[in-house]
Amino acid sequence: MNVGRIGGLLTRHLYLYKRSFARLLEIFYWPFLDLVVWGFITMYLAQQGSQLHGAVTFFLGALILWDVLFRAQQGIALSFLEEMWARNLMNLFASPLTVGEYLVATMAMSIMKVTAVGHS
Amino acid sequence: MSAPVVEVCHLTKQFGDFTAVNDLSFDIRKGEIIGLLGPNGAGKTTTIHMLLGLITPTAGTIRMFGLDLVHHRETILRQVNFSSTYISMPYSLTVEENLRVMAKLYSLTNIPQCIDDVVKKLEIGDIRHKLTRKLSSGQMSRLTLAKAVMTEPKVLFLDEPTASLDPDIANKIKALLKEYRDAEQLSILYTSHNMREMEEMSDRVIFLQRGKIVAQGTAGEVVRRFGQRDLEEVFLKLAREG
Repeated sequence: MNVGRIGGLLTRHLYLYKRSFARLLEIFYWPFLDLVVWGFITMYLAQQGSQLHGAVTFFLGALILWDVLFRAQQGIALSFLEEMWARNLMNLFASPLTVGEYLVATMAMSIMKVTAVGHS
Repeated sequence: MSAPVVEVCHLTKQFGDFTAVNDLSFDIRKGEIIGLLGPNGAGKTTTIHMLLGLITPTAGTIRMFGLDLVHHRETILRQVNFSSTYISMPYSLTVEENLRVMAKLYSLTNIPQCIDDVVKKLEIGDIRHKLTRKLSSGQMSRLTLAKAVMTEPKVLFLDEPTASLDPDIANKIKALLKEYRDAEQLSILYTSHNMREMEEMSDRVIFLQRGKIVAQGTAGEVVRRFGQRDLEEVFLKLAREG
C-alpha cells in the first residue's frame, strides 16, 4: 500500500471539489435537508406527547446517521463513475496504482466528506 | 544484441467465441522501436491492453525486465507508460493538475521540476493552466504524451499517438521520441495507420491480421517479402486478401 499514490488520487478528487460549487454544495445540502425533514417529524411526534418519545428520537438519530453513511457509500460509487465518464480508468489502472489503493483513496475521500458534514 | 525488455509468449485473448489475439509471440529489445500494424480489429489495442495488465490473457505469458507481469505488476508498471488517442484525462482539472496527479501515482520525486521539463519538451506551456475540457484533440494527445514521457519510462506503448496531431507537431513528437530512445535507450511499441510514419519510426514491424502475426521484420524485409513497393502496399494487399 503506497501512501503517495493514495494521496495522488485524493489530490485528483480535491481538485474537483475546488472547482465545482455543485459538488461542494452537495456535501452540505443533503444532510441539511435530512435534518430539516426529520427535525420536523421529531417535533411533530414530540407535540403528540407520545410515550415513545425517547425511542422515536433514537430511531430518527439512527436514520440520519444511516443517511450520512449512505451518502458516503454513494461517494465511492460516484468516484468510480467519474473516472469512467472522464475516460480516465485506463490511465489509473495502467499505472502502478493497485485496486486496494484505489478503494482506500475513495473511502478516505468519503470519510473526509462525512467529517465535513459532522463539523457543519 | 541486447536482451529483450519485453517478451511475449503465445499470447491469446478470447472474448467468448471470438479470438481477438491468437498465439502472439514477439519481443522488444532495449532501445528498439517496434511498429505494430494491422487493419481495424486486428488485435493491436487488445495486445497493448494485455501488455499494460488491463485485461487478463486467456493464455500465454508476458515478461518485462525479466519479470512476469502477473506477479510483478507494480514493479513493472512503474517503468512502463502509454499514450493513446482514444483515452482522455479528467476534464475538470487543468493540464498541470493532471500531470501532478499522474506524477504522484508514479511516485516521482521533485514533481514541479518534472512538470516544468515535460511542459518545455512538449511545448505545452501555453495550455499549462488551461482546463482539460477546453483542449483540442491535438492538445489532448500532447497532454497524454506528456503524461507518458514525464515518468521517464523504460518501455512506452503508443496507440496511434500522432493520429490527431498536425504535421508540424507530429514531426516534433516523432523527433522527441527518437531523441528519448537514443538518450534513454527507451523501447517503444508503436501503432499507427500511417505507413510512412511506421517506415520512418520503426526498427522492426509486426503485421497483425485477425489477431495473428502474418509478417514481421524490418520494414524493408517485409516489403521485399511481399514483392511490393512500400509498407502501404503491403498493408493494402494483406487487408484486401483478408
